[in-house]
Order: sequence, then structure tokens, then C-alpha cells
Amino acid sequence: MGFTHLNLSSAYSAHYGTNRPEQLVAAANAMGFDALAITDRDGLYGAIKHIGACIREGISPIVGANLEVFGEQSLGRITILAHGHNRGAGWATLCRIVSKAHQRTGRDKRPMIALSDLSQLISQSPSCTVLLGPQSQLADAVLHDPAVAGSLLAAWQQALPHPGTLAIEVVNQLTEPGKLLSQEHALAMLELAQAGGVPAVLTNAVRYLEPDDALTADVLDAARHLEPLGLFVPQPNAQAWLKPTATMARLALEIAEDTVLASRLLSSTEQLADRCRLDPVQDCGWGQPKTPEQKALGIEGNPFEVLWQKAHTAIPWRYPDAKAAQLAQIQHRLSKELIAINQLGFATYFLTVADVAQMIRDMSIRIAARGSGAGSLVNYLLGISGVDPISEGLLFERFLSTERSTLPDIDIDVESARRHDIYRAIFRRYGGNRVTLLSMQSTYRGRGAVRDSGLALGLEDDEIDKIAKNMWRFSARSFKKAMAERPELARFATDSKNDRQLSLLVDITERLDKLPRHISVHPCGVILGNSSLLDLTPTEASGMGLPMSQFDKDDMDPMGFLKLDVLGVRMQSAMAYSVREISRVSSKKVDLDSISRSDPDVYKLIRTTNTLGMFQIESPGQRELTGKHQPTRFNDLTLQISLFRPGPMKGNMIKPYLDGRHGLINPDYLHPDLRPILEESYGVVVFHEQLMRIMQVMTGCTLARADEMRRMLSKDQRAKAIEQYFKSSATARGYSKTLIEKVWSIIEGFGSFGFCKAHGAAFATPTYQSAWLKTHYPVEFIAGLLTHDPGMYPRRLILAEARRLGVKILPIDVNRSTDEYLVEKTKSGLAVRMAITEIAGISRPEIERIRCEQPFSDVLDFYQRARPSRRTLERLTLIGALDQLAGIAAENAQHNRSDLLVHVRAISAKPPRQIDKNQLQFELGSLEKLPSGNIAPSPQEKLDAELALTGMDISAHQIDRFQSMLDELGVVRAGELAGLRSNTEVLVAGVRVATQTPPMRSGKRVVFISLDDGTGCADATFFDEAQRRCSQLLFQNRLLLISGKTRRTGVRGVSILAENAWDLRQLWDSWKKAS
Amino acid sequence: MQLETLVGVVLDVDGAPVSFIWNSRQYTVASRPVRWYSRKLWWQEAAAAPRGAGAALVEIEMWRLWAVSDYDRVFLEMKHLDPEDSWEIHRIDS
Repeated sequence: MGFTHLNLSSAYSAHYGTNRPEQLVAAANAMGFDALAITDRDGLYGAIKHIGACIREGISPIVGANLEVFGEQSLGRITILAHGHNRGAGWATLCRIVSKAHQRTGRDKRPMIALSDLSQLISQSPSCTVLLGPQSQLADAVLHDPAVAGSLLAAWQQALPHPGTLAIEVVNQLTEPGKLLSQEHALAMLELAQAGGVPAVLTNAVRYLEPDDALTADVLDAARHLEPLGLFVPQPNAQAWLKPTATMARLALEIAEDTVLASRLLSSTEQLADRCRLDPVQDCGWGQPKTPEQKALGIEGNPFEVLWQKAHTAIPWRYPDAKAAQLAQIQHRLSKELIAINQLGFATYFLTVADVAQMIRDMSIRIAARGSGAGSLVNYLLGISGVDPISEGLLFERFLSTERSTLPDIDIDVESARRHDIYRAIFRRYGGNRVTLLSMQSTYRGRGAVRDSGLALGLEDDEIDKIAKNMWRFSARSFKKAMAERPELARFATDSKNDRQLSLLVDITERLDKLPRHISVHPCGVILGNSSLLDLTPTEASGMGLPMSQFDKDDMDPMGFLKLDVLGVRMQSAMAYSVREISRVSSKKVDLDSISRSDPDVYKLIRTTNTLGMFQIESPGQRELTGKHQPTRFNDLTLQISLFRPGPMKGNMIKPYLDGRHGLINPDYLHPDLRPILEESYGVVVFHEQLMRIMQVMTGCTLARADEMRRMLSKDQRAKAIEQYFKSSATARGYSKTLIEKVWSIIEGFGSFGFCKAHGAAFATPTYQSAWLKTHYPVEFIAGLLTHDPGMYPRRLILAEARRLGVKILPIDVNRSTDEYLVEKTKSGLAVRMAITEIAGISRPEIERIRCEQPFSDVLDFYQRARPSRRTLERLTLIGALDQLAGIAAENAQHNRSDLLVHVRAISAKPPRQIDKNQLQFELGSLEKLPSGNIAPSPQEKLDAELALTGMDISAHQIDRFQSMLDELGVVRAGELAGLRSNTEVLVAGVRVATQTPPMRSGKRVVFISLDDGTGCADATFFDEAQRRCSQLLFQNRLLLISGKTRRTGVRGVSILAENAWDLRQLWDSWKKAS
Repeated sequence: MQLETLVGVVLDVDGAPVSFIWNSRQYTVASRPVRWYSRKLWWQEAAAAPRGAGAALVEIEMWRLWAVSDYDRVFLEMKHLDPEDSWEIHRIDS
């Protein structure tokens, strides 16, 4: 007789199961099972992956969930299995039950469901079976008080009267005789089932694939309990693994001690399993696209006709000056795209995305397309994308092809600060029954894994912290390898050899690698479906309050869900803010989407490599590339962004491209037919689009087919067939054998290295727009950058850049500062006022009160109406936010900040009184006098206060204090580096603003460190030997002195090949002692 | 609880003890032996937990049974140590 496991927790039972569904299903198939259940704790998190794996392996999927149930008190955990082959009734009921368990109000938000709710949902649709198993309260009672067990069972039978909706789960995990999960216990459960007339099924309550994984489960238990091993009751043994049929049959016999009873137990298990086999298509709508109904979109009639109409009417809007020839080209391209969309039946999908895009624009929120969607003219005409695919040479077929039938991804970028507003608007527009947010599972990586492993072993927090801090960009699985290779882990590697606990730590950390850790809302995904969405996916509350699906992005395609990627991009917020400030202060209307893309001043600024704040090209690597590349037009930006990607970098495309561009080599266009395709990149194949066009030209295939072949290139077996096709078709078209061999070797080598040009062009748009703002409106742009902090660098570097640009920064002032960085008109022109939000520890209500009560007449008035805490008041004083108000800002003021501090300490000794407007404030008035004679803080002390309280050096650059030593040492300023020859020995010093360890072609790790010294950034590269010399410093110290040699990389490109590094503060201390 | 090491343990095909020598007496198992698995506190004892070593670190095979010799009849718990493949025994009741 066969057997089916009906209770199985995968790794998607976070901190409980140890194996991914794909692993479990493959193993089950190999063991000869023809069906397998997944019953994760609290939800269907792994269900879609399970079903997908079952389809691939050719076995039947069964899905359930393990939930806690409560009546008067907790009834423990039970398992609910969905029945299959009932047109989704079981699946829908299971989804609704899980969602209900997550709709918890009150303080305890842990998912659990009331027995009454469970009873109601199952009686409405008796299409699920509840298993009362070893984690139920019933199982406990069976052991201690059989009478209670009987009445509990009766209560369950009353709640679930419909036949087939209740069963008892018998589990023998060979624990100590007489205990839970022992043979005796299993027998008692079986007897209870018989006495109550309830079917009994056998399971092994599986939580790992093999006995070896039990140890991993111990560590996960500790992470779940948030307690070290030994402080809670651990699992009883290592028996909860996926046991083969024969073993399960023997267990049945051992439990029942009777062959007839045992075989009855096994056959009732099979009966239930058969009932729960799902038909993915009929039950879950597998692979069938689901879009909002027409009425939800406000469309009448045939959606394709509506799409056709919409696209055509937009042509004059997008191409106002098009002449007949261009119009013909547009019409031709549009027809081609529309035919493909119609053929795939995606008209409603495009209308849906267009509807959302229009809604976002109506909310006056900036929107831009990202990814291959920018290659579509339809997207451009519908306002989904802002990139003209015709002028940029982008291909529709890269985005959507009739050769594939999966829904294309259309990703849109919006202002990050408005993202939640957009989500709420989408819920309102389409209704809560059609919309849910997407979730994502974060998985264990190096640091998280070592932290939880350390917790399990009971290591001290400090000790784990030290280890975790040196874990830099590697997966937990390669911990041992990293220990052998990386200098910053060398010390730990030695320690762990002599320390039992540390050596264990390494082993168990590796075991946690990639296991799901917790679920959170996806940063940009919204699922839009039809009105039956909530029958197809369970939902739970997200951090922002709106419901989110328990499925992640990989589950969308299989489920046919339309996923809209609405990504909040801080740069879009920063730009929108800059535009608003321009309009507020100068009354000028700027429309970033219609500015010319060929403004020479913009490219001139970019070429200086002062790209800080420019989208995508501000990183140290991009800055270096900018210096070498020297872009002069929009397509250069597209190219530069595309080249600086892992693929093109690994494919070694940058150097030949630059050499061709600067005339160092003669570009090889291979054949006159290919010249138009390869000219833009000097003969180097960079873009997917180029590869597709080469295939098209040389073989005569369609672009759609070319893209299909491109996708298959990375798959070895398919590549052979493509090679044959390419060579024979190209030969038939009369190309020479040498050319064909040469082109094929390029195509083959291209593999996964190229980049989608549409994606590059979509990125280049905000790059250009931000560069344009920095060129023409630097003050407003700096204000936008400081307010929305869009880049990779700390805010203090933006301040340093402002100083370098000559943009005046005004200090925090309680009468003028708000929660944003405002542009102010001053006598000497425009300036940026620091936001009050930067003060450490200031609360939201304090900020709100200051904003609402502004302006204040004096310090006491401020204290009484803004009611800051004493700590905030002191901090505001220390950083000078009260200087103006107290009249001590001027150079020749009678009093100073120390006097003021004494004063505010005196007035805040008592809490501020509520102002009684009818009473004069005599007694406090006398305090309005400032004391005098306190020693004024030095500029250095003021700077220290700024750094301590805002994390930023506002009044001066923090490197300035070391200047005397730096001068003596002959340290070179970052701004001067560009003027030095290659191979000059230099010392540079500054604040570390970026550390990167990008993937390298050689596989060896290289560390890039950027130092800011107020004149710009010095970028230093540390190879192996240099890393070893200063390993302790590299990832930890903020102020560094680096020695090395300059390396010229282009017209404005200079970087430093580092030899060594020192802690600047330590140097300073010893230098001062010495002098 | 006094644990003693056993010698001369004879097993059946399923790995269940059939007979053994204890205190110089020959014992024969006289009931259906109940196999169960107890746990080990690996985090206190083990020095490494590489992949594949898990089960032996987590659990330990136990047998509960009645055994008779020419002189007495005892209720015993036997512990099968892996990977040493040695046996320990203690008496629960007689």
C-alpha cells in the first residue's frame, strides 16, 4: 500500500523547517511518493513553490497550513488540508482561513484563528479537513487526562459536523515511552479516534528532509524562542524526517500492534491524501492571467479597440513635430506592437498599467519607467514610459514577444516619499478585493546567520557583534572559505581553531544559509487581480497597514497574477522637491520631462567627474568611468550606465569600448551590414538589442525569435542548436565562413554579459535630469538631495559638496528651520537652510510644535510654546539653533553660546508652564537676562557638537583640524589629484564615505575606499597585499590616511593604488605628542 | 543512575538486542524490546557539527526491555552509542 506525507513543514515555516519545497519534492519523487503535502506554519508561504515543484516532478501537490486555534483558551496547533478537484473551493477556503488567522486586532498580533471562525468558514464550504495532531491541546490531554481529551474531541466534532472535515493525526516519533510523540501516545490517539468515530491518519509531522537536518532545526528553535539552546525544551530527538513508505508502514504496525488496524490506518491516510490532491489549473488558476474586470478599469467594449484608440490618439502628444515619413515609421512600429499585444491577449494588462500610470500623474507625482518596458512604443504613448524607443533605438521584442506567453514586467519608478500614497490610491481605485501588496522572504545571509547561531550557542552579544562586523558580503555557506581567504577574518579563524564554541559557530552558521528568515512587504510590488483575488491568495497585514499576499515575486507568474512594480526612488523625490523649491523661491516652472537632452553645459559638468548627487553615476566606480569616458550626449549616458554593470564588466567590454571611442584602436565592425548596429559602441557588442539585430541581419529571423535565441544562449544544450541554426542560415545568406565563425564566437562569448539597452536608457533619463538640475539649479538641487537623501553617500558628504560648489549652508535656526531643507533668499544670493530633523533624538511632536509655533520672539517664548524636552533644548543650544533667537549670533555679541547654555539649563530646570494668556509672566521675565563671563566654545568645540548631535560637520570640514599635520606630511588634496602624473607617490587623507567590494573578473577581492577631504573624493584601491597590511582598519575606521601611487585612467580619471592605511586620529595623537 | 558498559550484545536483523552478557551473566531478552530515541545536548559537548554529522549529535538510540538470566529477571534500559557502536545499560526496575 502506498503512503503520503500529509504533514510537512518546509523552510517557509520560518525558524522551524529546514528544507526548501523544491528539495523536499525532488526527494519525495526519488523515494517513490506520488503525492506530497506542504503544511507550513501560519500560511501558504511555500505553497506555490511546492506546487510548481510537484508539477515538474510529476507528482500530485497537496496543500495545507498549520495554525493555532483558540476557543476559551488555546486549542494548540492543528493542520488544515484543502480538498482538491472541486474547482478551487478547497483552495479558496484554505486561503480565507489563513487570512482570517492573520486578521488579529488587539495587542497580541500572533496569527491564530477562533474555533468559531474556523467552524463557520468550513461549514460554508466543507472543502477542508482539520487534522488534530500532536501539537493540539487534544494530544496533550490524551496523555494526561483522557476524560478531557474526550470532551475536547466532542467540541471539535460539534464545531466541524460535516463528514470528512475532521480527522485525528497519529504520529510516532519514537520518543521516550509514555511521552508525547511516543508509540504509546500514538496508540492512545488512534484509540481516541476509534472511540469518537473520527478517521485517523498517520503522519510523521515532518520538519526536515534527513536526520542530519535535525541539528539545524535545533538552531532554528533557538532563533524562534529567542533563547540559547538549553534554556527551553528542545525537540525530543531527530525523528521528524521524511521517512520512506516502508518505514512509515512499519511505524503503523508498531503503533497499532495489529495488522488489520495498521492497514486501516494507512488506507484512511491514503483516502484523505487522494481527496486532497490538487489540480493546479482547476483549483488554483495555475498559469492563467488574471486582470481587473473591465468595469473596474472603467472600460467599455473590446479592450483591444480601446488600447488601439488610446495609443493612436497619443501620437500628436508624443510626436508633435513629426513629419510624414516619421509618422509612417511610428504607425508601422505601433501596428507591429499592437498586433503582438492582441495576439497574446494582453490588452487589458496594458490598459491596467496605463490606468495606474495616469492615476499617479493625476496625483502630481513624478513617474518614470524602468527596465525593458522602456522599449515599447505603446508604453511611451500610454505615458507609462518617458523614453522614446524609436529615437533611442530600443526594441519592443526585447520586452514582449509572441514567442513567450508570460506577462511582461512593467516597472515604474515614482517619488519614494509618495509611494504609500500611491498604494493607498490603488487600493481605493480598484477595491480591496482586487488588490494586495506583494511580500518577500528575507533569507539568512552571513551576518544574520552568525548572529542567530551565536544566540543559539549562548555567546556574548559583544563577541558575536565583533565577528558579524567583519563579515563582509559573503553567504553563510562559504563562511569557512571566507575565513581562509580574508585578512579581516584571520584572527577569528585562529581563535576558532582553539575554541570549541567558535568552531561550532562556524558549522551551524553555514547550515542556516539561505533559509527564509522572515516575511516583509516587497519594496515595490502590488498585485492587481480580479474580484476573486482573495480566494487565490492568503493575505496578512504589512508593516504599513495594507494587506500583503503571502506569495512572493517568483509566485506571480505561476499564479497568473499581474504584478505591478511601483518602486519608490528617492532621486525622484529629490528632483520633485528641487522643482518645487525652484517654483516657490524663483517662481519658475521647470518641467524635467520636457527639457532638451542635449544641453552642452550639463555634459560639461558631468565630464568634470563631480557627479555627486547624479543618479546612477555618483559611485566611485562610475566617477572613475566618467573621467575616462567623457560623455557628450544622451546615448553616452545610456552606454556608460549599461557598461558599468556586472555583466558587461565581467565580459570585459569597457576597455575595448573606451579604446575605440578615444581612437586608440580602429573599431572592427566585422561587416558593412553590421556597422549600423555596432557603430554606437565602437564595434563592441554591449546591448541585448545589438545581439538581436545581428542575429536578425545575419540569419533573417524575426527579432522576437532572435530574443528567444538570446535567452537560450546561456543554456548549454540549446546553444548547440542555435549555433547550427545561426551558421547554416548565415551561410545561406552568403556570409563568409570566417565572418560567421568570428561573429558566432562573439555571440557565444556574449552569453549573459550584455545589458538591456531599454533599461540603460530608462536609467539615463533621471541621470540626465539630475545632472541638469545640478548644472542649472545647484542650490535647489542640494536642498533636494539633503531633504530626500537619495544617494549612496552620507548626508555630510552632500554638505561637503555644497561647500565645494559654493552653495551657502545656513545653520539650524529654530525660527527658520523646518523638517525639510528650505531654499532661502539671502543678501548674497540663494542658500540652503539646514532642517531641524537632523538633531539627534528630537521627536516628531517636538518638530511639529516648532513648525506650528514659529516664529518665536525669544528663548523663553520658544521654550514655553515649542515645549522641547530639556535634552532637545540643550542640543539646540549647543549646535547654535538658538543663536539668532538669543541675539548672540553676531561676531561682536555681548554674550556667547556658553552663556546661553547656562541660561537654558536654568529655565528648563522646571518643566515649561502652560501659558496662561491672562496672566503676566513677571517672575520668569527676570530670567530673560543672559549670564555672562562663560568661556565661549571654540570653533573646534562647535564642530564637535555638530558631529556629535547631527553626525555632520556643518560649519567646517572635519578634516580641517588635522591640517597642520597633513601639511607637514605633504598630504595631497583630492581636488589636486587630477593634475598629478601617473605613478606619483602620494598620501591622501579624509573621511571614509564609501567602501565597495565589487565582483572582479579574476575572482579576487578588491576593496575600493573613497575618502572625502572637502575638495572632492579620493578613490583608493586595495589589492591583496595592501588589504593584509591594514585589514583591521579597512571596514571600521572613519578617518583614514592612505599612502599609495597615482594611477591615471583617463582625461580626468585618477585613482590611487593603495599601499597602506592608518587611523588618522591615532597619527594625530602621536604627532601632537612628538611636536 | 549508574551506567555500565556491556559486552557480547547480539542483535537481530532490525538491530534489536537479543542477548548480552552483564555482570558475568548471560541475559536473554524476554519481551518485545521498545526502541526509542533520546536526545543529546550537542551544544555542550560537540566540537564540530559539519553537514552529515547531525543525527548522531542530536539523538541516541535507546532500548527498553525485560531480560532474564539463570538467576534473575530485570527491566532495563540499553543505550546504543553511535559511532562507537558500544552499549551501555542501566537497570530501571526488577
